[in-house]
Amino acid sequence: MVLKLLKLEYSKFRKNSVITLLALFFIFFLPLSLYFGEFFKTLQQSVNMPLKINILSAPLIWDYLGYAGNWVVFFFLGVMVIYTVTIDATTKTMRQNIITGLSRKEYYLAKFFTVNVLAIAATLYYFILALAFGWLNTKNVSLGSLMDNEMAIPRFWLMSFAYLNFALLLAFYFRKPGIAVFVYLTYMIVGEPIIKLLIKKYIMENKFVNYLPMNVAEDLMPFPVIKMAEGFGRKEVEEMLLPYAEAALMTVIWTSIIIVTTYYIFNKRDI
Amino acid sequence: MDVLRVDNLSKHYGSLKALDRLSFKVESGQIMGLLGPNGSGKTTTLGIILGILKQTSGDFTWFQNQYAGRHRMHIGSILETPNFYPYLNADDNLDIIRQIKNVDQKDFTELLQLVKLEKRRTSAFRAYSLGMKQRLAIAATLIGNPEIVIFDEPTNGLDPEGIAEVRNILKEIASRGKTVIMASHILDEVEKICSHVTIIKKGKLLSTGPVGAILNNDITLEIGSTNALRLKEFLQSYPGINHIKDLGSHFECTAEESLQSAQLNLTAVKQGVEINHLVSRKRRLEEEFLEITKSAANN
Repeated sequence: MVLKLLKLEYSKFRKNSVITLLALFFIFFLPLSLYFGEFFKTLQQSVNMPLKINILSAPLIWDYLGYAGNWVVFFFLGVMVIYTVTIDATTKTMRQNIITGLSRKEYYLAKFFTVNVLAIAATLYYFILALAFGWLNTKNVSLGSLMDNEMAIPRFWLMSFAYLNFALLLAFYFRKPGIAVFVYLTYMIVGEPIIKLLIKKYIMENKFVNYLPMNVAEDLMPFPVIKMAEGFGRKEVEEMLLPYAEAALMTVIWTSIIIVTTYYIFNKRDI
Repeated sequence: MDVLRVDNLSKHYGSLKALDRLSFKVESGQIMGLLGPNGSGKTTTLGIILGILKQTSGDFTWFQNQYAGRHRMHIGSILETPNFYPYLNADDNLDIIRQIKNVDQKDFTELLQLVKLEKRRTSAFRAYSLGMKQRLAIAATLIGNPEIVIFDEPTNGLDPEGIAEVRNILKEIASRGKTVIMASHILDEVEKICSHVTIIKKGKLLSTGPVGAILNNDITLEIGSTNALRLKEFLQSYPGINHIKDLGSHFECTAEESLQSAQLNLTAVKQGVEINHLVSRKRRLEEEFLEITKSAANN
């Protein structure tokens, strides 16, 4: 069934120019973002926060490329997931798929499997790029030194999986591409930081404010300069970021809730 | 064999009752017209029985439950508008339907010939005219040789040529012995194509049965004369004529089936009533529909 549903999704979107464009943006922007790294390097040095080491070298490349991927996956692949559902809703092909014979469960699974494939493909691409750039920018490179930060790979996958399932939830809930994309971007960029701020100010001020759904996923691949810059101590870093294990656990919990909610919403509502 | 049984189906949107305990059944081989004015609940009914809308109460059964929830694989249907991927061509869109239906058919030439689209099969769906879109939708309903085909307002928005084309295709499909359910607000369409009819209004069932049974045996007479006053007096006294309606240029009367128009004409001439217009015809579904909906409103 998995292959059948994936093949069906591929048939629907293989000739879609928006999907092709978003995929190309993802493919180009992930490696290109490394060159923005040079900009960050200059910036940090100019404000007297010198970087300890070259961010393009292994094993730091995993963190740096992971953080770049954090945004690139969130933006391009997240919007792609939203588009695959909302285009089906706006062209009424969602209802036609059901009328033709797909069950609601199969329709949802087709999208869910696509999210899985995208998360795995993005992780594979991240892995290849990190290896390639690490190899080119590390002195006395060896396979061991390249793979020193190998847990970044499952973290990158989990982060991608979490973002894309969140995108899927909003797509199924709103069904209109403009609204879903707007809420998706706004929640992540503005919404959650504001909620975090309000909780800190009016309810509690401890690390639990970092347990919000997108924040935990973001902390799987955080901004590496925080750890690299000499201006930050261990205490400051701990206050700003969750430990990886905690972030991973919370991401699994939130993503499970998001998956169940998405299916429930789709199964209960009129199409 | 009942292929569809609808029992007390209701659908409420807040206080609005889109369907109100609707019940009817469709038997194998019937061409059932679901007839009602716009907003009567036809599409809602089809939406529920095709699984895209959730009913508030009531139930429905397809194929006496023999396909255990996979009944839609045995139904070909269009609901409201033809819904396809706009950037894909006819073959690609039909292939998606084929994949969902899980059938092996890879060549759609015969289907595209039936709906006269084989020459435009490589054009993107978005480049099609409304008539072409509708014809592609009809082709899509036939993939996998389904036992039942459902059409919702199949000629909506088409020009006269398109309407004639689609009707001919529907008749061709019906002649293949398939069970057809067709929702329409166009009485003429239902009368010309369907063997059975279910009439609904405001979500309620008004009447269901064979088109011949819904149409009673009375005939309609159109009669005109240069002397309308004398003609009216003559018609009022003539045996077998029931209702007389003055349409200005002529009278329209309901008469018993046994009434002979030639005999009526002869009698009128003998009584000095010169008839200049005389048409005798079976009552149309349109007239029955208006009568049924009127009496339902009075009740």
